[in-house]
Amino acid sequence: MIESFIGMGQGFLIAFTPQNLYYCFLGCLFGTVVGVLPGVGPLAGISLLLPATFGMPPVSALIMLCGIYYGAMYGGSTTSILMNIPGEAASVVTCIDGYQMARKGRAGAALFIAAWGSFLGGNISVLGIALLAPVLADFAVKFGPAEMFAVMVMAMMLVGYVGSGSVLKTMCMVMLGLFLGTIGMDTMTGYLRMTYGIKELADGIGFIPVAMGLFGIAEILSSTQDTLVRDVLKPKLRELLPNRDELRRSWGPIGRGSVMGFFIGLLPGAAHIIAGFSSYALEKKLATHPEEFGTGRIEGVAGPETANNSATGGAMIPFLSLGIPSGPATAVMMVALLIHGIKPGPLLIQENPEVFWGVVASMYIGNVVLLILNLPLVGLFVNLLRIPFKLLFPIILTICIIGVYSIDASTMELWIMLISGLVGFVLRRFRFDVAPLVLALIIGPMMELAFRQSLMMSGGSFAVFFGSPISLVLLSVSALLVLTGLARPLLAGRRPKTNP
Amino acid sequence: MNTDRVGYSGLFVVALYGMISSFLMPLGQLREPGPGFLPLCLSTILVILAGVGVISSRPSQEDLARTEPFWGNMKSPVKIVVTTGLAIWAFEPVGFLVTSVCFLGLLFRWVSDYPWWKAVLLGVCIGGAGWFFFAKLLGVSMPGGFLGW
Amino acid sequence: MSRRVALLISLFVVMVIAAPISAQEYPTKPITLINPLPPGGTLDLQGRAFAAVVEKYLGKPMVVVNKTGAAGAVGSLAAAQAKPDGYTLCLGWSAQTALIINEILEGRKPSFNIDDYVVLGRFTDSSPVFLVPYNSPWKTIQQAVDDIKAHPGAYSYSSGGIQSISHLPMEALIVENGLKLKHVPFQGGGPAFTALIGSHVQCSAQYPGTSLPKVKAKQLRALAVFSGQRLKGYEDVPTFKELGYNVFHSSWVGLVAPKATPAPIVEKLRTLVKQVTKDPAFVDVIEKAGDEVDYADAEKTRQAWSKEYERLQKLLSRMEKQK
Repeated sequence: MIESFIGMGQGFLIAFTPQNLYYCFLGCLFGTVVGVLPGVGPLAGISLLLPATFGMPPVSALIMLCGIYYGAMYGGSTTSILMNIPGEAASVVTCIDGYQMARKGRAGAALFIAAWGSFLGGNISVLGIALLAPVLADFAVKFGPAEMFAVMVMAMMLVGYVGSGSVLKTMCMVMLGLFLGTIGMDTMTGYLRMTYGIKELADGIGFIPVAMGLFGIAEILSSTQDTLVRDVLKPKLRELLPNRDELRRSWGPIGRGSVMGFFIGLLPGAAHIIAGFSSYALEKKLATHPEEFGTGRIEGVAGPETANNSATGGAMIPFLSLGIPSGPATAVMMVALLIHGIKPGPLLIQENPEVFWGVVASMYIGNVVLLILNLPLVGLFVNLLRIPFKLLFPIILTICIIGVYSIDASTMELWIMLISGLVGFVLRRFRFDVAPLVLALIIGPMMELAFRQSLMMSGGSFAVFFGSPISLVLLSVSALLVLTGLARPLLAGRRPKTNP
Repeated sequence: MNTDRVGYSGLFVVALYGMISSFLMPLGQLREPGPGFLPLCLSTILVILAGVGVISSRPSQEDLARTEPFWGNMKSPVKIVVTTGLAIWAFEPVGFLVTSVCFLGLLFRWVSDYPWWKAVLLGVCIGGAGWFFFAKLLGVSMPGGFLGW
Repeated sequence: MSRRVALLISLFVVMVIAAPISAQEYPTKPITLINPLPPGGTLDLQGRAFAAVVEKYLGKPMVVVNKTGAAGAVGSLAAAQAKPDGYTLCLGWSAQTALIINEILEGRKPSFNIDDYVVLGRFTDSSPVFLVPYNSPWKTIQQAVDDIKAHPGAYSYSSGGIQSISHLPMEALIVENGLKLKHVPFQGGGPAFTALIGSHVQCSAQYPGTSLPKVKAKQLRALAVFSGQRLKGYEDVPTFKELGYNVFHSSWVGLVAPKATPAPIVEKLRTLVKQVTKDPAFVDVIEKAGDEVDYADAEKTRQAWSKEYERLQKLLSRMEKQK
């Protein structure tokens, strides 16, 4: 513990040099821009600036790249709230209540709380890294395929909570999402499932084009059905900030979200996304009026946004302590380290402590920088909503096209986005909630892969899932969730027939 | 009309198609599931759920109160989809700059009902700004098309 | 002489002169380098390092574009079909060969082939290392092989994906010795390492750059290397050949261009590869990442590619038969 504090002190000394502060700021700024743009995520931003870092000292390079990573997380919530377009994967959940808040004129409050929640979540996770990194690194390694499967099962249970509307409809959307997730090359056998010879589908239906289509494009299509003149809200400064009630209701979700997000961030894979909707599900479960979720509840923004920022910190632990990248963005950062001659791995903290602690300290500084950057921008962003819709929506469409194309330089993904937009439009008309579909689309393949890997390793024995304490605990919790979830309507006598 | 029933029927058909596709794939055994195993399970469950939905759905309040046609005013959505489709199709051969300018111009004129000159002006300005910002400033790789821009 | 003939002759002369001139003027705009694999991997590192140094020699920047999909097939196909004007190049690597062969084995005509490209040169040629968790009971390859033979189907190894550069070397070992070792594919090297470190699988074949830090940290142990000679950084680890096993695998990374690229431009690019691979900035980056620059000119690379094609073809067919 003492070493941690000494280390942090050393780190702050390094991070506070004018040069590193400058790079941190630059990274955060670039990251925010990149995050606000739908489709262009932290990965693209980091890859774009990677060559620029070649001449820089290693610590500075990493500080800048982490700044981009963080900034993108902050920026991603902006488009989710303002335009119902997830700026990047983890912000999907923010769309649900965030956008509804914007429709009610509370966009400023939503953006503000998102920024604050992200700040607090980020801080807690930095603290967590500083104090717990060595302990937790080993924990991350204990997660083999069987444990991952148990995690995914629990995640699927939580996805069910995210849907509004009837249970049957939500379950249908989840099944559909899981099914669509199987399209593509099967990781275990290399078999191409339902790709119909289209090479680009071999990696599955890309999540980002689908999310942007189902949320953003579908929203534009339905909005243009009525007149193109929407109520242009002229927010006053007071209305930009959350009111007392909203602030009071946000503390709980923020607190819970930070802790939850941090630990979920340790898991390899799509930790941010899981953190986001786990927090959403938790808040919904704890709320006195869960049916109001989906209509613009501040808890639905505060919790997930905090959780996904906190998860960023958690995700850095396996990377910094073990040299194992937890996702594509950290993989590119690892390349950055290698280029600078730093070997990421367990010895990083010993051989290059200045890198480890410098990065951790700059994450904290980055948080502060981003808060300072984003809060004034809230006013600017909310004013974007004053642009007449008929002028705005073509611009949004163009940005979506650019965003999706920039991921893989693929026209096929643009088509996927358009088709998803149509599908989303149709689903909305028929009163089906799209969020569970998208989340199932992400979780499904991971769940199946973990399942089959486990069976492969155990030689077909199902005992592998009950072997380790971690998976046993998680599976029991999932079973409990299912039982309590089913029990309530069953006890009430009939399936809820609500067709909202 | 019973909105939910139609919706569930659509899902039913999709799920049935999914079941058929899954059967065509190697299924493996329970101990070593093949590629087709999970899709089959999922589509079967969906068929059952959608079936239940079809049978048990009732017309909602909205359905009973509805006076206009179900789909509502489809003119604008159709126009948007067609224009976007054209833009995507032209994106790589024609190049980003020209396509985005035309795309924006068409939408502004056709859907947003701006007069011709305004639509073109906005298209050129915004499209040009976008090109400058993304392709030049950020260095995101955009297709140049046959004009090489 | 009639004016017409004079005109034709002068046109001809102009064209002849113009051809090398246009090659001299190349490049007039930035060049695109397609990386068919996702960002963050070895290929990405080498490609970006190369692109960063190129501007010094050519005067125009080279931009790396990740056109991913289907384990590299999407980007490779795009490169094969690109306009052969020297402004679109691609990275070539050994698993790409495996992609081609696999399509043939599945009875499909491969969408791209070695002949669709003209080879420009090779950057590196590396071989993987056979790794086990630090606490593994296997201390030598002999022990490992004997144990696996004694308990067929009881052990598994992790790889970064089907047909990846960490899958094929293990299959070479398996096929050569008739082992029954289960393959558990993961999505990329990162998860494959995690599974190995956590002892969820018993072994894996990974490359020096990413594995050396973990071996030094005593998380993993190296029992043998798949190369012909001992590797730098792993000097005390024997090669399979030394131990008496006929197992070899190497993975090269290089530069290719679409087949019909004009000869003068090809020449220029070939010289470029030679220059860049000697450039200290490039060498520095590669070596820091744990690899060695192993330049081979176009001819040698092409021959090695054909030889590798045959080797992988044999391996993949044997794998098919054993399925």
